[in-house]
Amino acid sequence: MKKEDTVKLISAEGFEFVIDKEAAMVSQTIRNMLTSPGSFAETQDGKVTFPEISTTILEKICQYFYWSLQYARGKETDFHIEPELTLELMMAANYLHT
Amino acid sequence: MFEKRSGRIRPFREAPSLVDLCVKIAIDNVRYLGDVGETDLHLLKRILPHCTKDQLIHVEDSTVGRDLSPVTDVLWMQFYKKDFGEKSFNIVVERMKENKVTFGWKQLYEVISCSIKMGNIKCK
Repeated sequence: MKKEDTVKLISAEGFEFVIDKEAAMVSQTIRNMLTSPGSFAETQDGKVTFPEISTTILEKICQYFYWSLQYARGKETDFHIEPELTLELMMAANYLHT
Repeated sequence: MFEKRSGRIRPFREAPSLVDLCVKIAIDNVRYLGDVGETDLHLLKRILPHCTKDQLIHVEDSTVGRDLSPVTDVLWMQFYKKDFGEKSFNIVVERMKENKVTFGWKQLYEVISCSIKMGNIKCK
Protein backbone atom coordinates (compact mmCIF):
# COMPACT_ATOMS: atom_id res chain seq x y z
CA MET A 1 0.00 0.00 0.00
CA LYS A 2 1.65 3.21 -1.15
CA LYS A 3 1.53 6.16 1.22
CA GLU A 4 -0.28 8.36 -1.29
CA ASP A 5 -3.03 5.77 -1.56
CA THR A 6 -3.80 6.03 2.11
CA VAL A 7 -5.18 8.65 4.41
CA LYS A 8 -4.87 9.06 8.16
CA LEU A 9 -8.04 9.77 10.10
CA ILE A 10 -7.50 11.02 13.63
CA SER A 11 -10.09 10.73 16.38
CA ALA A 12 -10.89 13.18 19.18
CA GLU A 13 -8.57 11.24 21.51
CA GLY A 14 -5.75 11.36 18.96
CA PHE A 15 -6.03 7.76 17.79
CA GLU A 16 -4.93 7.35 14.18
CA PHE A 17 -6.60 5.15 11.58
CA VAL A 18 -4.68 4.61 8.35
CA ILE A 19 -7.06 3.52 5.64
CA ASP A 20 -7.21 3.36 1.85
CA LYS A 21 -8.05 6.68 0.28
CA GLU A 22 -10.63 4.86 -1.78
CA ALA A 23 -12.39 3.73 1.38
CA ALA A 24 -12.26 7.17 2.98
CA MET A 25 -13.80 8.67 -0.15
CA VAL A 26 -17.02 6.80 0.62
CA SER A 27 -17.61 9.86 2.79
CA GLN A 28 -18.69 12.80 0.69
CA THR A 29 -17.23 15.20 3.26
CA ILE A 30 -13.80 13.53 3.21
CA ARG A 31 -13.96 13.24 -0.58
CA ASN A 32 -14.50 16.99 -0.83
CA MET A 33 -11.63 17.64 1.55
CA LEU A 34 -9.29 15.39 -0.43
CA THR A 35 -10.30 16.55 -3.88
CA SER A 36 -10.90 20.28 -3.57
CA PRO A 37 -7.64 21.89 -4.62
CA GLY A 38 -5.64 23.61 -1.93
CA SER A 39 -8.48 24.44 0.38
CA PHE A 40 -7.67 22.04 3.20
CA ALA A 41 -4.03 22.30 4.17
CA GLU A 42 -4.02 19.24 6.39
CA THR A 43 -5.39 16.92 3.73
CA GLN A 44 -2.41 17.61 1.51
CA ASP A 45 -0.35 15.39 3.76
CA GLY A 46 -3.22 12.92 3.97
CA LYS A 47 -4.27 13.65 7.54
CA VAL A 48 -7.72 14.56 8.71
CA THR A 49 -8.52 15.25 12.35
CA PHE A 50 -12.02 14.90 13.73
CA PRO A 51 -12.06 16.59 17.14
CA GLU A 52 -15.73 15.73 17.59
CA ILE A 53 -15.58 12.04 16.72
CA SER A 54 -14.52 9.54 19.38
CA THR A 55 -12.22 6.61 18.65
CA THR A 56 -15.00 4.03 19.01
CA ILE A 57 -17.19 5.87 16.53
CA LEU A 58 -14.37 6.59 14.07
CA GLU A 59 -13.39 2.91 14.10
CA LYS A 60 -16.96 1.96 13.29
CA ILE A 61 -17.01 4.49 10.50
CA CYS A 62 -13.81 3.05 8.98
CA GLN A 63 -15.41 -0.40 9.13
CA TYR A 64 -18.43 1.00 7.34
CA PHE A 65 -16.26 2.48 4.57
CA TYR A 66 -14.80 -0.96 3.76
CA TRP A 67 -18.16 -2.64 4.15
CA SER A 68 -19.67 -0.14 1.74
CA LEU A 69 -17.00 -0.85 -0.90
CA GLN A 70 -17.54 -4.58 -0.59
CA TYR A 71 -21.29 -4.12 -0.80
CA ALA A 72 -20.95 -2.09 -3.98
CA ARG A 73 -18.91 -4.94 -5.43
CA GLY A 74 -21.69 -7.38 -4.85
CA LYS A 75 -20.95 -8.73 -1.36
CA GLU A 76 -24.24 -7.78 0.23
CA THR A 77 -23.79 -8.65 3.88
CA ASP A 78 -25.38 -6.91 6.86
CA PHE A 79 -23.51 -4.14 8.64
CA HIS A 80 -23.87 -4.62 12.36
CA ILE A 81 -24.44 -1.55 14.53
CA GLU A 82 -24.55 -1.81 18.31
CA PRO A 83 -27.79 -0.07 19.41
CA GLU A 84 -25.95 1.91 22.09
CA LEU A 85 -23.73 3.53 19.45
CA THR A 86 -26.59 4.43 17.13
CA LEU A 87 -27.20 8.10 17.94
CA GLU A 88 -23.54 9.10 18.15
CA LEU A 89 -22.74 7.16 15.00
CA MET A 90 -25.70 8.67 13.20
CA MET A 91 -24.55 12.21 14.01
CA ALA A 92 -21.01 11.48 12.83
CA ALA A 93 -22.31 9.80 9.67
CA ASN A 94 -24.51 12.80 9.04
CA TYR A 95 -21.53 15.13 9.37
CA LEU A 96 -19.47 12.94 7.05
CA HIS A 97 -22.27 12.64 4.47
CA THR A 98 -21.97 8.92 4.61
CA MET B 1 -7.35 -5.14 1.76
CA PHE B 2 -8.68 -5.04 -1.76
CA GLU B 3 -7.10 -6.13 -5.02
CA LYS B 4 -6.73 -3.38 -7.51
CA ARG B 5 -8.49 -4.34 -10.68
CA SER B 6 -7.87 -2.74 -14.01
CA GLY B 7 -10.39 -0.21 -15.19
CA ARG B 8 -13.30 1.12 -13.23
CA ILE B 9 -15.11 -1.26 -11.00
CA ARG B 10 -18.73 -1.33 -11.90
CA PRO B 11 -20.79 -1.12 -8.76
CA PHE B 12 -23.47 -3.77 -8.36
CA ARG B 13 -25.66 -1.79 -6.08
CA GLU B 14 -25.04 1.25 -3.99
CA ALA B 15 -24.62 0.46 -0.31
CA PRO B 16 -27.21 1.98 2.02
CA SER B 17 -25.85 5.09 3.68
CA LEU B 18 -24.63 4.84 7.26
CA VAL B 19 -27.15 7.51 8.25
CA ASP B 20 -29.98 5.38 6.84
CA LEU B 21 -28.69 2.28 8.62
CA CYS B 22 -28.50 4.18 11.92
CA VAL B 23 -31.98 5.62 11.49
CA LYS B 24 -33.32 2.11 10.96
CA ILE B 25 -31.59 0.78 14.10
CA ALA B 26 -32.84 3.78 16.08
CA ILE B 27 -36.41 3.12 14.94
CA ASP B 28 -36.11 -0.58 15.81
CA ASN B 29 -34.92 0.40 19.29
CA VAL B 30 -37.16 3.39 19.80
CA ARG B 31 -38.39 1.98 23.13
CA TYR B 32 -34.89 2.43 24.58
CA LEU B 33 -34.59 6.02 23.36
CA GLY B 34 -34.00 8.61 26.09
CA ASP B 35 -31.87 11.73 25.89
CA VAL B 36 -31.37 12.43 22.18
CA GLY B 37 -28.60 14.94 22.90
CA GLU B 38 -27.66 17.07 19.93
CA THR B 39 -29.16 14.80 17.28
CA ASP B 40 -30.17 16.88 14.25
CA LEU B 41 -33.83 17.72 13.94
CA HIS B 42 -34.08 16.34 10.41
CA LEU B 43 -32.93 12.96 11.75
CA LEU B 44 -35.30 13.10 14.71
CA LYS B 45 -38.08 13.82 12.23
CA ARG B 46 -37.49 10.39 10.78
CA ILE B 47 -37.25 8.59 14.13
CA LEU B 48 -39.68 10.13 16.60
CA PRO B 49 -42.87 9.47 14.58
CA HIS B 50 -42.30 5.82 15.47
CA CYS B 51 -42.69 6.54 19.20
CA THR B 52 -45.82 5.78 21.15
CA LYS B 53 -47.17 8.60 23.29
CA ASP B 54 -45.40 7.31 26.42
CA GLN B 55 -42.13 6.86 24.55
CA LEU B 56 -42.34 10.40 23.23
CA ILE B 57 -42.98 11.77 26.71
CA HIS B 58 -39.95 9.83 27.95
CA VAL B 59 -37.73 11.21 25.16
CA GLU B 60 -38.89 14.79 25.78
CA ASP B 61 -38.43 14.50 29.55
CA SER B 62 -35.01 12.86 29.25
CA THR B 63 -33.67 15.39 26.77
CA VAL B 64 -32.50 18.30 28.88
CA GLY B 65 -31.86 21.84 27.76
CA ARG B 66 -33.38 21.37 24.35
CA ASP B 67 -36.78 22.08 22.84
CA LEU B 68 -37.90 19.24 20.59
CA SER B 69 -41.24 20.81 19.72
CA PRO B 70 -40.28 21.65 16.11
CA VAL B 71 -40.40 17.90 15.59
CA THR B 72 -42.84 16.75 18.25
CA ASP B 73 -45.62 19.34 17.87
CA VAL B 74 -47.11 17.65 14.82
CA LEU B 75 -46.90 14.29 16.61
CA TRP B 76 -48.81 15.70 19.57
CA MET B 77 -51.37 17.07 17.14
CA GLN B 78 -51.88 13.54 15.84
CA PHE B 79 -52.22 12.17 19.39
CA TYR B 80 -54.73 14.90 20.11
CA LYS B 81 -56.86 14.03 17.08
CA LYS B 82 -56.66 10.34 17.83
CA ASP B 83 -57.52 10.60 21.54
CA PHE B 84 -59.98 13.51 21.64
CA GLY B 85 -61.52 13.26 18.18
CA GLU B 86 -61.61 15.32 15.02
CA LYS B 87 -64.46 17.48 16.37
CA SER B 88 -62.56 18.66 19.43
CA PHE B 89 -59.52 19.22 17.25
CA ASN B 90 -61.47 21.44 14.84
CA ILE B 91 -62.94 23.44 17.72
CA VAL B 92 -59.49 24.09 19.18
CA VAL B 93 -58.11 25.16 15.78
CA GLU B 94 -61.11 27.44 15.28
CA ARG B 95 -60.76 29.02 18.74
CA MET B 96 -57.07 29.66 18.27
CA LYS B 97 -57.80 31.33 14.94
CA GLU B 98 -60.55 33.50 16.46
CA ASN B 99 -58.33 34.64 19.30
CA LYS B 100 -55.22 34.85 17.15
CA VAL B 101 -53.20 32.69 19.51
CA THR B 102 -51.32 29.46 19.08
CA PHE B 103 -50.53 26.83 21.64
CA GLY B 104 -48.32 23.82 21.29
CA TRP B 105 -50.24 20.60 20.79
CA LYS B 106 -48.52 18.96 23.72
CA GLN B 107 -49.77 21.72 25.99
CA LEU B 108 -53.26 21.48 24.51
CA TYR B 109 -53.20 17.73 24.93
CA GLU B 110 -52.23 18.06 28.58
CA VAL B 111 -54.84 20.72 29.34
CA ILE B 112 -57.68 18.77 27.74
CA SER B 113 -56.65 15.48 29.25
CA CYS B 114 -56.43 17.14 32.68
CA SER B 115 -59.89 18.73 32.23
CA ILE B 116 -61.35 15.37 31.27
CA LYS B 117 -59.83 13.79 34.39
CA MET B 118 -61.35 16.52 36.52
CA GLY B 119 -64.71 16.00 34.83
CA ASN B 120 -64.92 19.46 33.28
CA ILE B 121 -65.12 18.19 29.71
CA LYS B 122 -66.54 15.02 28.27
CA CYS B 123 -64.31 13.18 25.87
CA LYS B 124 -65.45 13.07 22.19
